[in-house]
Amino acid sequence: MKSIKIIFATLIIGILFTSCDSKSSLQKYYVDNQENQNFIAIDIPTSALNLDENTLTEKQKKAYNSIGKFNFLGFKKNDNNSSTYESEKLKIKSILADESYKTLIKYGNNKQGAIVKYLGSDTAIDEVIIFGSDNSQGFGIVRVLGNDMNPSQFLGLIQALENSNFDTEQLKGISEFFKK
Amino acid sequence: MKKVILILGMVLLPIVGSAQNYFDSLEDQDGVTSVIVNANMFNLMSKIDVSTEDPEAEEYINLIKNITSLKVFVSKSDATTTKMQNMMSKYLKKTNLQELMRVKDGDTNVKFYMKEGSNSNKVSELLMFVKGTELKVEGKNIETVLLTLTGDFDLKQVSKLTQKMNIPGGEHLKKAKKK
Repeated sequence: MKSIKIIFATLIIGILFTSCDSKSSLQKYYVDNQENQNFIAIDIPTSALNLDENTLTEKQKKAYNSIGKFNFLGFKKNDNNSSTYESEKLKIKSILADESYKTLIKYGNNKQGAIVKYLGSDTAIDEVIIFGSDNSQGFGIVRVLGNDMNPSQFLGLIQALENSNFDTEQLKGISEFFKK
Repeated sequence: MKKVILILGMVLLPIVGSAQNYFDSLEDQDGVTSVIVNANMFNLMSKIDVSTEDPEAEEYINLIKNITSLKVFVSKSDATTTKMQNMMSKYLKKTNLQELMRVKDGDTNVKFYMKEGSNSNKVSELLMFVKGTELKVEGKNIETVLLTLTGDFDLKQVSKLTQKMNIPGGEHLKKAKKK
C-alpha cells in the first residue's frame, strides 16, 4: 500500500515538474539572452496602442484588458555570427516544438520562415507566439502575453485599433535594430 | 468483438491521419514556398464574433467552420515541380481522389481532384494542381502550385474564397460543379 502511495507521489511530482519546465522554457530563453549583444529585447506595454478606454465597448474593453504586454526578442545576423544564428534558431524551434504550443500558421521557403503558435485553449489564450526568420537579416520572436484572451472578442478590438493612433515610436527600436 | 474494433481503430487511425500529412515533406524541400494553416487556426477563426448583418462575412465563417486544414506549396524550379508531380500522382492512386475538372488555359494547366464528403453536396478533400510558366503571384513568376483543402465543405463556397485569396487557378473553380 505504501509503495503505491510513493509511486503516485512521484508521478504527480514528475508531472508537475515537467509542466512547469515546458511553460517556462521560452521565458527562460528570453531571460538568458536579453543581455546578449546579438539580441535586442523590447517590452511594449498595451498602453502603446494608445486606445482611449472610454470609447471602447464593453467587449472591446474586455479584450483590451486581457492583453498584458507585447514582448519582442530579435537576433541581428551579421558576418561574424552566422553559426550562432543557426544554433539559436534551432534552439527556439526545439522549444516551440513542444506539444503545448499549438500551431496556427506556418510559412516558409529557403530563406525565410514564419510560424504562429499559441498557448492555452481556444476560448482562453494565454500567449500568442510569432516567430519569424530571414537568413540574411536574423530572426525575431514576438510574444503577446495575456490572461484568458478570447478570440471571439478580438475582431472588435482590431476595429477599435484602426481608429486609434498607435504609438509607432516604440516599434522604431525594432526596425532600427535590423537596419544597422 | 468491441475490443477488436477498438484496437483496429487505434492501429488504423495514424495511417488514415498520415494521409493528410503526406505532402508535409515538401515543407523542407529546397525551392518550395509553403503556407500551412492548421485546424487550430480554423477553429479559432470560427469563434470570432462576426456581426450577422454582413452576409458575406457570415458565409466565410460558415466555410471556415467546415475546414480542417489548408496547405499551399509553390515551386519555381523544374526539379521540385517534377517531384511535386510525382508525389501527387502517387497520392491520387493511394487516396482514390476523383478528378473534378481539368482546364488548359494557354500555357497553364489546372487540375482539380476531390473526395466526396458527408453528403453529395459536400467535399471532404479538394486538391488543386496548377502548372504553367506564365503564372504570376504578386508580380513574381511561379511554376507550380499545389493546394489541398480538407474538411467537409461546399465547393461553391470555396470558389468564392479562392477568388478572394488570389490563388492562381482559383478563378476556374467557380466553373466546377459536382456531377
